[in-house]
Order: sequence, then structure tokens, then C-alpha cells
Amino acid sequence: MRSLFRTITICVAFFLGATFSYAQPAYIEIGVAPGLSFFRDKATSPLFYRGNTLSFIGAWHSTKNSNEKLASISFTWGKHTNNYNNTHNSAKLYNLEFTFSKLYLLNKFSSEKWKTKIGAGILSTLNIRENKALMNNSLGVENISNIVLSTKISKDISRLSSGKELAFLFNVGIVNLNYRPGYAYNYLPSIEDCYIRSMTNHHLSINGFRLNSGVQYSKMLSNRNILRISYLFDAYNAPGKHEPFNYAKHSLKFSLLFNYK
Amino acid sequence: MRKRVFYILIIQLFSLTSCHKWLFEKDIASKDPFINFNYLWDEVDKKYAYFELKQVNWDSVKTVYHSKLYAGIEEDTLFTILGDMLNELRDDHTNLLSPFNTSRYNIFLKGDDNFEYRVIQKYYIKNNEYATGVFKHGFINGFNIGYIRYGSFVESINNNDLDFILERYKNTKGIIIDLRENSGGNFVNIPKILGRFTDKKTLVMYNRTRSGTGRNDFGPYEPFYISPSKRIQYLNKPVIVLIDRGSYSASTFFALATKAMDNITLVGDKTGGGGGLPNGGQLPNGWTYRLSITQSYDLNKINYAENGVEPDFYAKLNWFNLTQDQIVDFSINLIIKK
Repeated sequence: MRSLFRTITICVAFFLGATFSYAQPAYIEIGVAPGLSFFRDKATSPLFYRGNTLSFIGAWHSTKNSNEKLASISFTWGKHTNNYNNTHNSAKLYNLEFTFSKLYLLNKFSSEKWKTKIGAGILSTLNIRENKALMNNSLGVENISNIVLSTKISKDISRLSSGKELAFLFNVGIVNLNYRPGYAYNYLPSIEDCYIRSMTNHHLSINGFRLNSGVQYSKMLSNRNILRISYLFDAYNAPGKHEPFNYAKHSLKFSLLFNYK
Repeated sequence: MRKRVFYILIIQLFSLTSCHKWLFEKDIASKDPFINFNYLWDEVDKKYAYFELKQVNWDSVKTVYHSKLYAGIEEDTLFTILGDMLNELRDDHTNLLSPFNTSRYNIFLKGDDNFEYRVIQKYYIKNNEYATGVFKHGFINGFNIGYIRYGSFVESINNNDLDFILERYKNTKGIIIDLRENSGGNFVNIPKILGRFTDKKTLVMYNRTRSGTGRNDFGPYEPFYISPSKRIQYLNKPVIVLIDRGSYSASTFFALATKAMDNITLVGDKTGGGGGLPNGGQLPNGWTYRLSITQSYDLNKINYAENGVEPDFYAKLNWFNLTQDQIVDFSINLIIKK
């Protein structure tokens, strides 16, 4: 396990170093994404909870013909409910997500109008959930981190001189890590010295899957900024060591990309 | 042609990934009484911590209660059967909750009632009762002894309140902390209070958590320490803690912890238990439940707190003379003699 982490860390460091080492056209993206999401934590419930979410996204993009880089952070808030059998239980979800990816142009599958890019990325998601109906297990916390294979197929759909692009994005997890609670747990804390430790006995596991896809429409504005509308889908299964956590989200992102180089 | 391939590819990948239902195991929401019964029985079987201490044959319990089910059973009847099954564990940390009822064993009804606060107010702390945060307190009339009523651990204790109280009683011969009928609450309050009565870090108990499907599978013993508070303390004087069968959960942990502290004496009746921390969950029909998943041990690693912590001195309230609280009287005498 340690050697795996060392390898991953070295790869990430190399990846980041290679990315930020030279300048190319770059954008800062600010966006908001209302969505619909579903989750089930089988450690506490066999039922899916469904609800609306709202995400706030900040990202850095660097785009040129030969490669493309993205680093983003997003915060999502959502309220989910399960009303099966008139039980009306609700769960709040707070989610913080970091993304980094780097894609390279595949010349063989690209032309002036069509571009196919492939590369790798890192997704890391921290979920904090609160469902008071579960009493001593009302709090749920997990981290899902993935190294993903990333693909982007885009087409320049411009007519005349205005820049328009339609793109399909697809990420699939190739290393799927999750940090989930232990066999039986509750969130009443134990107290040792002056600090409080939750009795959850979290474990790191390498299992499950993650799929992340989207369709995005981008329009270049006259000031070289970009207006973008995206449909995004994210789903993951984190089996952990004992019980799985399932999550899926559909969202519609509206964002502005400000050119600064 | 290329254009057509592109759009077909987009539509295909899009439709494959945009539907979450095929990605995960099927939703097992169900009102079927047999499915819900088996789910609950299994969860208890996999996670409950006290089968051995309580000598409960969980397999026999299944046979008895499963035979009471039938197709088309009314929800209320199903609830009663499942609730009665859980009550075989004799554990108030093990409950079933539905929109129309909550099951509870009510351990305090199995023992005597030993508390009537009106007697304390009227005959012991008359005219000087203070209400400071979650505490009620006063000087016991005619004695240089402080009485502190702590009725629930649910609300988090404010350290300033404890400072005020201990400053008020700093010159007393001793204090009485009354936990009778305190049914528990927030575990964090235990070290907040007990840290005021020790000048050294003290190991007070161990806990173990169920860690596998075997009924005796438990994780390591986790030590629980009380560290001395850096705020106002009350040291080198007797502290009496009053307990009874209504002292449950955090009160039981509190009482167990005092066994490791020389200056604290327990008086009253055995606590109600609740020495297992509960784990919550939900059934396929949406009802929720909780059950004890940890064991608490004293310093000799003996597991008894779930059945109640014994007082150092037994005392009972005489309901035929409600001008006196014999448990408080006994405690006053203990302090005077020390």
C-alpha cells in the first residue's frame, strides 16, 4: 500500500510540474451548476435518497492545440429525501471536490475541425452527509479519490468567424480509492487527552468505479472570454471494506471563462 | 460520414453513462414483512455487542418472532413484533422507530423510583436554588455542602457554568452531584465534568467495538482517559454522585468512570445500564433502528456496565416520608464523616 502511494505521489508531482512549467493561453472559469443527485450508503440504509443540489465551481484552464489542462474546485450543497412508506427522512449533503486533468491531442483522430484528446486526471471528492433519522449515525463522511483516464472529443461548429465548440467529455476511473467507515461505527466521539476522535475506524480501500461524463457547448465572446453550458454526469460506487456507497449526479453547469493570457 | 460517427458516438456514450440505475445494485425498498424482519434480525446479528453478557439466544429469538409473521400483516402489528424482538435484548439503546411509534424496553421501570426533585427543592436547598445552564444547584440547608442537580447529558455543558458553580462551592466540605433519572445524552460532557475532580490524567475505562460477523468479533480495547481540567477544579474533598435505575447511557459511563477516581463515591441504586454506544440504520420499509455496537469495560477489563454500575453504597428513597430524601441524607453523613 505504501509503495502504491509513493508511486501515485511521484506521478502526481511529475504531472503537476510538467503542467505549470510553461505558459500557454489560460482561462479562469466561474460557474454554477444546479443538479439532481442520488445516493445510498448501505452501511446505514438500503434505500436511495434523492435530491436537488447546487454546485459552485472555480477552475483554471489552459488550452492549446496540442494539449489541454484543467484544475478545478467545486462545492456542492444538496438536500436529499426518501419518503418511502411515508417515512419522510431527509439528508443534507455537503461535497467538496478537486479535479486535475491533462489531455493530449491525438493527431491520428483529429483534423482542423475535429479534435480528439486523451490523457489522465485526478478526482477527489469529500462528502459530508447528515441524516438525523439515523440517530447516532446521523453523520456520514467519506472520501472518494480516483485516477481517471480522460477523453475529450470536440468539434468546432463555428459558422463564419464566431468560435463555437461542442465537446463530449468522458472520464473513467482506473485507480479507485475510497476512505469509508469501519464495520460498525457511530459518530459519538471518544475522548483521549484533549482531543475528540470519532469512533468510525475509517479504512482506505482500492475498489469500485467512477464514471464522469459530459457534453459542453462553448461560445467564444468578442472579448475572447467564453460562455459555456454543460450537462455533466458523475457516478461512483465505493464498496469500501464492508458496505458500498453509491452516488450519481446529473447537473447543468453555466459558466464563464475569463481569458487572462 | 465522420460527422455522423461523431454524433452517434456522443449519443451512445451519453445514454450509457447518463442513467445511474443500471450502475448500482437494485433499490431494495420493500414493505414485505419477511424482508424487513430478516433485514433487522441480520443487522442485529452482525453488529450487536452484548449477546453473551445478556445470555440472549438470538437464533431462538428469530424462530419465535418469525413464526408470528404472515403475508398482509398490518404495519402496527409488524412494528409490535419487531419491537418486541428487539426488547428481548433488554437494552434501551436498541430501538425501532416508525412514523407512528418508537419501541423501548424501559429499563428504569424494572427498578425502584428513587427520585423526587420537589423534596430536594422544598427541604434541602430551599431559598437558595440557582439555575446555571443545564445545572440546578444550591447549598444544603444547615450543612456546608453543595448540591448539584444534573438532569440530562443532552445539552453540551458550558465550561463557564461549571466555573461559576465550583467557585460558588469552593469552600464547602463536599459536593453532591445528582444523576438520578438522568437518562444520558452527549458523551463529551463526561470528561468536562470529571476533569474538574482530578489533578492527573486518569485511565477510567475501555471500550471495544464489534468488528465482524462473529458474535464475539471485537476490535481492540480502546482506553478512555479523563484529563485534569485547566479551569476551576474541586480537589481533595469528597464528591458524592447519586445514581439510580433511571441513570442510563452517559450516566452509566460517568458512574463507571468514577470507579477509577478515589475522591468520588457512588450512592443510590445500580444504574440502568446503556454501556454500549449505539449504531443507527434504516430498514427496507423506511423505518429506522439503532442498536448497541460497543462494549464498555472497567479497568480490570470486566464487562458489566451494560447491566448497570453498582453504587458504592446502596440507599433508597422512602416514599412514605416525602420530607426527606434518604439518599441525600446518607450522602451528607458520608461527607461529614470524611
